[in-house]
Amino acid sequence: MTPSESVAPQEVQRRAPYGLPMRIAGIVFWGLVVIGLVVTAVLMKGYEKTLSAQYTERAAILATQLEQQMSAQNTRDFEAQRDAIEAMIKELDIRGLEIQSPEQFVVVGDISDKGSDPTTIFATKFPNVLEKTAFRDTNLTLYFPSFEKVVGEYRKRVLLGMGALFLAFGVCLQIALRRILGTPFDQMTGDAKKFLAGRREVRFDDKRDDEFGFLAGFVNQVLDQLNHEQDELRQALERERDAESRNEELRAATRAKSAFLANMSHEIRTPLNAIIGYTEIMLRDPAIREKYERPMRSIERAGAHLLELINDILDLSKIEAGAMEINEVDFDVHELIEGVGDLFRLRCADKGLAWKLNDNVSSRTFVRSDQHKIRQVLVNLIGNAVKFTNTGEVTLSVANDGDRYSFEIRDTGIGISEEDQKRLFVPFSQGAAGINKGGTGLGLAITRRNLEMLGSDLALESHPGSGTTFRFNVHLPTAGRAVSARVKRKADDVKLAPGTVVDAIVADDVEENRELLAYFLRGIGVSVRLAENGKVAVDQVAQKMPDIVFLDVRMPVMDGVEALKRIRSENADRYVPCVAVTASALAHEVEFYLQQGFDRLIGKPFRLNSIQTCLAELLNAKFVSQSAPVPATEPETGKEHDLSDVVVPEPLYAGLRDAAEIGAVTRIEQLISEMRASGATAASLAAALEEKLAQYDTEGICRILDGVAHR
Amino acid sequence: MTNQAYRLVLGCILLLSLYFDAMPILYSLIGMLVIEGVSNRLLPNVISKFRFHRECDTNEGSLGLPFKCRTSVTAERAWRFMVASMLVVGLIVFPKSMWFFPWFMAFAIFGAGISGVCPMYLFLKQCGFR
Repeated sequence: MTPSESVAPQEVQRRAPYGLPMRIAGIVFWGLVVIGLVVTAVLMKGYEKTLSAQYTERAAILATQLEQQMSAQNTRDFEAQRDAIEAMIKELDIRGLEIQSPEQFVVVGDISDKGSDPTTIFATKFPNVLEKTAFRDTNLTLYFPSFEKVVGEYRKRVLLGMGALFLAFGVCLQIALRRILGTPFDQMTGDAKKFLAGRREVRFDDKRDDEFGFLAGFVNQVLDQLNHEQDELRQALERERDAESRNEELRAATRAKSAFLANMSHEIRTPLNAIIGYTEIMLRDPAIREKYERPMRSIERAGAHLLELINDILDLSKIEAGAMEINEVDFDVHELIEGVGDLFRLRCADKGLAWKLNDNVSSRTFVRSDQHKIRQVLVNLIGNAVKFTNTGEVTLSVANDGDRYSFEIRDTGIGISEEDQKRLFVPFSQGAAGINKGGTGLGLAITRRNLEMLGSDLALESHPGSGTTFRFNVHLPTAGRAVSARVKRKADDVKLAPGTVVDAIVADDVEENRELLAYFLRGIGVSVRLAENGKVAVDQVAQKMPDIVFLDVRMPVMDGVEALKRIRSENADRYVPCVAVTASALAHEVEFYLQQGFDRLIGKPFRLNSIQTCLAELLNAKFVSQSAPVPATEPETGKEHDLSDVVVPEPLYAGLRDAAEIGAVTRIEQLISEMRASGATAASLAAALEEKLAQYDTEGICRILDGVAHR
Repeated sequence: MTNQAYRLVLGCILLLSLYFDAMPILYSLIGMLVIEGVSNRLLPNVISKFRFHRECDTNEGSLGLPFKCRTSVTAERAWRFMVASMLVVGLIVFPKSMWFFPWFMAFAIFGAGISGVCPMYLFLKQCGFR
């Protein structure tokens, strides 16, 4: 959660209308009520005693006053003294009086006992006061106001007064509590609201010397911690945003790089497709082959050289981008080694080197791994061995221990110094000898990365002048099934078997590519309809269903993918195989097109083999080979030139040397022209150089220059 | 009408009735409390339903304390019975010796109505009434 995403502060509501002060006051009030009642009960007991004593005293006073009054009047006629007696009882707050003497029964005052105003009959016997007087035979019955009522009235007054007192005390207590508790509480509440509103510098008042101050101290620590964590969170989020933006920039750069590579791959392969493809077509013509085979082969090799160069660059880029994948296939190890051996046997013979193959692997060993990468590694290592060995031999040794295969490439070449060994596997980095021999400096870098992907590593042992040995082990698990030996079909002398009719549609917006593929297909007996974009191809499929459709993936109006979807949707009742044609070599793009629904994918430059394989696998087409023999594909190595008398001017020699080292073919051509113009003695050198140049053999040019005098 | 307001009013009426010895009012209050307890038609709930179409909160007055409920009878209902019983004891059974009981009840109910704290109610909650 970011600070900006934190939960918005909600207004905290009081659940009860009365807070702590009221509750405390209520509890205190309870206690006071109990105490008050106890006090009241005690007071009542005392009051009852007092009242009883009062009644006794008043009775005695009345009796005494009555005796004195009667004695003063010297009479026993109480009736005659009624008024005086009424005055007495009124004065003493006696409600009524009954006087019972032997002569009379007199009632003075009100002695009725009303329900709502009861009386208390206090005495029925004359008090001891008159015991020794003449009225000892007279009984007085005094009627006082009800004892319970008087006590009750008194109790009510007491309780009322106490209740009022307690209520006032409660109110004062609550006011005091509100001030004591409420003021700091309100202050803390206000400070908390300010903090929640965003004023992070607000702190609670911890200077108070009570519980609130104590609490405020802890709360301030919590707020400090909270601020600190928020700051850290904010910084972390900023760092994360920065890292994310940097990652996005890197991703954008990677995407741009991949797009650039895809585009460059397409842009370079497309014209290469025309070069290599038309060369291959023209070489199928015996008349052209007889007259122009060498130049045509040169063009073919130049195209292959360019293709190899772009493939190396793309491979390295793929490796750096982590896009290189392992493509496992089942293959025969022995066949792989034989193929590589055949390739380099001739090259070694050309240089006068001995080629040795120690194949200790049992024949017909089928394994599952990335055959292409292993072959690439072997070709690169052995190619370097041949390049950097002038005399002696190049040996390839292969052995296996179960699924573990060990490869060793040993040469008797110039060796690699320790200093050069440190930079050997750095892309585009070459040692002094490597610079002299030409190349891009990518081979060993790609080789090592490929081996790492295969779970292996490359070991190097070399000393200057003592040759070089490269070793690597790779795990090649046994394949689940035997792989039939690939029949090497000479692509340029096969046609569809008689009776096999194949109708194809070729769609490509580039006319050369369209025509080229059509040539290939017509050359092997396929009838071809052409379309300049996907929409035309779809219309042609609707007109007449073909047997197979070749769709370039990049076309205007409607591209290959869209055309494929239209063809599938409009022809749900009949399935026509569709082949994607693309110049892109990126693995993820290949996978993409296959996932889109294409049955196969062929790359540019076209190879007749791949086209034939498509037809064979998708249409079960049968091919028959033509009877015309194919002349040797290896070019002539060139006649020997006598260069012993040749002396080359130093600037010319240096220019040739420099141009040969960096592979500047055009510059070499210019310098050869200058050389021819300089005189007849240099003509033989020029011819020799031209021969090598025709084969793009810059190493050969360097070897020739090594044997030529210059000053 | 909340239960707290009900107690405040009840306490006031009790105090005034005791002061003026209005026994009919006191007997009526006892009867009302018994009827409320028996019928479970508590006056605050009746008024609240009439005005707001909902009953009063059964946890009002619990002070937020956790109580374990062991019976379906509400504490308010039990409180009515308790108060009625104590008033009967103090006014009718032992009017002279336990004169203080109704006064104590009246003051306590009045105080609970003001402060919202009723120890008897809390005691009943603790006993397991809902």
